Amino acid sequence: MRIKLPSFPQLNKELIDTSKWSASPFKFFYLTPAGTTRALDLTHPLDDDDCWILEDIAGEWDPNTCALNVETDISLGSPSVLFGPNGVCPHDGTIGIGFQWYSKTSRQRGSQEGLTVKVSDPSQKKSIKLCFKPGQLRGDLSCDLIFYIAKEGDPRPDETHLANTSGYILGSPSTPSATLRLDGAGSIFPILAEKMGPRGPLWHLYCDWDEPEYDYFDESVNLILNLDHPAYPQINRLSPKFNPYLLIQILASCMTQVVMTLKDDESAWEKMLMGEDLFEGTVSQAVNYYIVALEWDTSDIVKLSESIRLYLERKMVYRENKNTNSS
Amino acid sequence: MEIQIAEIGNMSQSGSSLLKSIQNNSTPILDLLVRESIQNSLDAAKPGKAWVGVEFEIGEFSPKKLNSYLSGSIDTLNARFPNSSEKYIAIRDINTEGLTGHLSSRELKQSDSYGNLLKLVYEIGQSQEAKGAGGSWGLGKTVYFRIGIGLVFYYSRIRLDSGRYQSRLAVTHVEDETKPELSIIPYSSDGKRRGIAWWGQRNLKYPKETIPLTDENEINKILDIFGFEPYEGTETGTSIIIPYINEEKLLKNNRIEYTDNLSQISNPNWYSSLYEYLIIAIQRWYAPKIGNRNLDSVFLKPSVSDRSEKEFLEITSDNMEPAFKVVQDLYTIAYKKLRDRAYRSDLELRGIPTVCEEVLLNGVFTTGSKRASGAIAFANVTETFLHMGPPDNNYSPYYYYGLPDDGDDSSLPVIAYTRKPGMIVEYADSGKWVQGMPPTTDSTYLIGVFVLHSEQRFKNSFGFPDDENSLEDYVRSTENADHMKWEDVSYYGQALKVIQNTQKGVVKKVLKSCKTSIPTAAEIQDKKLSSDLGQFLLPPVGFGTDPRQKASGTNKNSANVKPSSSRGPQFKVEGVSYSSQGMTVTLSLTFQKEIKKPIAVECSVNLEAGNLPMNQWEEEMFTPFPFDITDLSVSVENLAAKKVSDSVAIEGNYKNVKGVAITRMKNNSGICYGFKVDASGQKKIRVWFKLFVKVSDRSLIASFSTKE
Repeated sequence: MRIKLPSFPQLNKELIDTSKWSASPFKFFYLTPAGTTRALDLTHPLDDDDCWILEDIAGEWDPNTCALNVETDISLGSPSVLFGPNGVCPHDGTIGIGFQWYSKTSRQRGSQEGLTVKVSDPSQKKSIKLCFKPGQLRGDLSCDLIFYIAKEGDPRPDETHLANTSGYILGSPSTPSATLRLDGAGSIFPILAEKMGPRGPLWHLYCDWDEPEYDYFDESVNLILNLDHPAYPQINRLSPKFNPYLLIQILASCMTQVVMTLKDDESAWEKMLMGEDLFEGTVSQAVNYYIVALEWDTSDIVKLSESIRLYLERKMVYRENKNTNSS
Repeated sequence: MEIQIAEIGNMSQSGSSLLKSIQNNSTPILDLLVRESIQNSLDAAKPGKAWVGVEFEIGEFSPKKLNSYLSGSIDTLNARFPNSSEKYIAIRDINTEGLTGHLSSRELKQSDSYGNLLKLVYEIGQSQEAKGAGGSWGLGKTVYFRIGIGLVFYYSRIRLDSGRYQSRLAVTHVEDETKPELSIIPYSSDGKRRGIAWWGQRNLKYPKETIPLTDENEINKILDIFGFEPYEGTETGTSIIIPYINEEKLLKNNRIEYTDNLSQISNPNWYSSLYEYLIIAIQRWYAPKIGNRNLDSVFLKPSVSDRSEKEFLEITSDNMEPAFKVVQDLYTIAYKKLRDRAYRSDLELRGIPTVCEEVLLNGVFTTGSKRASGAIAFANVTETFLHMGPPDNNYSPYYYYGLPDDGDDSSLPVIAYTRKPGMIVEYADSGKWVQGMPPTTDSTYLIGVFVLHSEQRFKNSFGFPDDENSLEDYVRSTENADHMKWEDVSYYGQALKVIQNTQKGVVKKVLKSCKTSIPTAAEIQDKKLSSDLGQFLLPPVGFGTDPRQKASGTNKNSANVKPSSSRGPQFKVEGVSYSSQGMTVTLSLTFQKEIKKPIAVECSVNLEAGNLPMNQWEEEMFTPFPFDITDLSVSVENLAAKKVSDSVAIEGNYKNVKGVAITRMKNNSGICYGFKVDASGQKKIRVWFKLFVKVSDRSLIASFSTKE
């Protein structure tokens, strides 16, 4: 059993209540490369209810290329309560309220100022922001608010027990606080977009591997959509002209070609069917998954194409309908 | 000194074969010299030293004075070099062991290893024992004989097992015995010529042989001819002095001639000065190691001096040319990546994005390890970053790396690769390392450094011997004697494709990144769609980094609350109040069951990395423990009867309060950091403690814990 005792008075529940402190839950925004600000939603990942992941309906959010902002609206009704012999800071010092954050997996930590208060300040209301540069964060992120001594004061005789060195942390309110997971190991289907000119094909399949048991799927297979094609809006999820069935036809054609290309290599196909020692992330593992888990019919090209289309229509259109119904 | 002329024997090398044996005929000889000599010095690093120094010195000496020591060849040498002064080049290392081992191979017993002296000076072709060292012994060292006229002086100081120091000096000469007109070895008229000779002192037990000089006075007289400082005190190390060098010939050897677009010669300035050339060559091959304190191994402190011109430069991480700073930075990024350590690189701090990825191979390495054969770190470096504009007007990086430069608008990518010793094996601008990488056209240069994952081990089913089973061992075996290339070989009967597949992997990683960095090229447009499609078109994990699923190996934050044991005593803080001197703390220790053992309540300093108890704090921090329990009062509560005794102050070191024995714990300075509570035999009591803790450093957090 262990008890920790800092050497000077800290923020406690009583002081939080009497100072009329409150703060809204954290809100998350990102800055697109084009410069617009968009909000992100919080949801739990599939395997952990204690942390959150950030979701972007527009599908653009990527911590590697977008700046991330964390915001909260704070309110401190009676700042004076925090000062003096019964508070946490000498009467003429300054208390700062800011963010502290750390990321275990990327081994980074930091803090950022939010606002400062003095004893004579009236009730404070402010929106404070924590900013991260594109590519700064990896893995996970935990953040919460802290109170600290921003500027030392000149303690009266009855204030000498108080913290009075700038930077000393006075405590942390239990809310708001958030633990985010920024990347994990979930699978991402490599569907890209490129400007191929208005006369180029609507879509192009890059499909190239030497050894399917060893080569990685995302390096060997890319579906590339043509941003310039007049029909592109029909396969753009965010366009009002979006037609999920057209996208499904393209995906089905693409996957049929991938599976049949592997089938052309007899020995690789046999090894893939046996399913032993398939390395994670490889082309062979993916195709094995289609046959074993998704039960696609690979007996011939016609049956294969149909089983993929049926599968996708079930999965994707159902989802789209769910989304439109709930919006 | 006495001369020993090598006799022809079975399987002995001749001078001409030694001189031809180093396979490389396209690398400038000065580069070979720099690579070989610094590698030897690094291999001989003294244990416990953080760095190895290597000094290259160019100077002059008097031929007459030197020749007088080379008995048998004095007249020949004097006739050949009639001038009053000739030039030498010397390589001196610091913080190294020196040429250790027996003075003569006759002293060797079966189990003895050859030792540095014998291997370098007298035996050629022994295989290297130390793991991760330069390569197979000997053949690389023939470079010394090609720098001057074949004459090489070896001077070293070592520490003997007895604890005393010994200096050694010997001379080896290797010449092409098929060219008698250039010979300096005094063969008898019918003597068979092998082209190898040594000078030293007569080996009294075997008078036909010589061993190194060991008399310091004699040695210092010879060093004086070169103006060379001897090692002193506890210094050990090796110096190689090569007299009779021809600067111009050395500078012209195997060099690339650069021309501009008007076909005019545009060679770099270091082509006309041996001093300047060495400065570049050292950086070219050892950029990763120069002053680099970020590595787990010794770092290199090289310097170059020209005594006649009175020039001296110590090369540091800061004054390296920008083209080489880039190499060091990328090397460190990849090095750290393989060890899963974060690193803020200079490139990133200066706004140049870098990419670092591990190259993974399947089916080759032991399971459970990361599958990486190494890591590749690369960046698109701008001309500005390389100081190619005014006022420095540096050359293009190809000049610095010793690669051709067509002067085109487009620039070929360059991948440098290295293994454990940290020397750059090669700068590849063509071939498998860069095959398929497009040239850059926007005045940027794609520069990459691949670092081998040396500790990686092959899977057991290959059946390699245990001490030759690392990736480092395999790759080292693929290098030629001059360590200039990696190519897959048959290793213990297995035809491995590790290097080929690594090269392919490097190319793939670079190409993938090129795709995403050019704005009009394909990139994932709709991440949500890709993520959603990933859910139903791919297995749940292993095909990306979507946060939907946890990455393997990350620890879920387990609940911080430890279930309190209901059997043992319960420890609680009941109240704290603060004053300027410290804090008054009320603690309670509740015993429900019968107490069998005493308990210690101890104070430690709470740090992020853990708690530091008193003795550890004072050992590591060299300051007194900051928490002193000056006042302690105890009262005992009978839980059944619900009665609390009066509080009793513990003034001395010991007191018994209602059957509970309290003993203060104090250190040598009298600071009380805890107390022992012995309530054996009692049960259903709560012991109350009121302490005043004097705090001498209020920035620290005190942590109280109990221990049986």
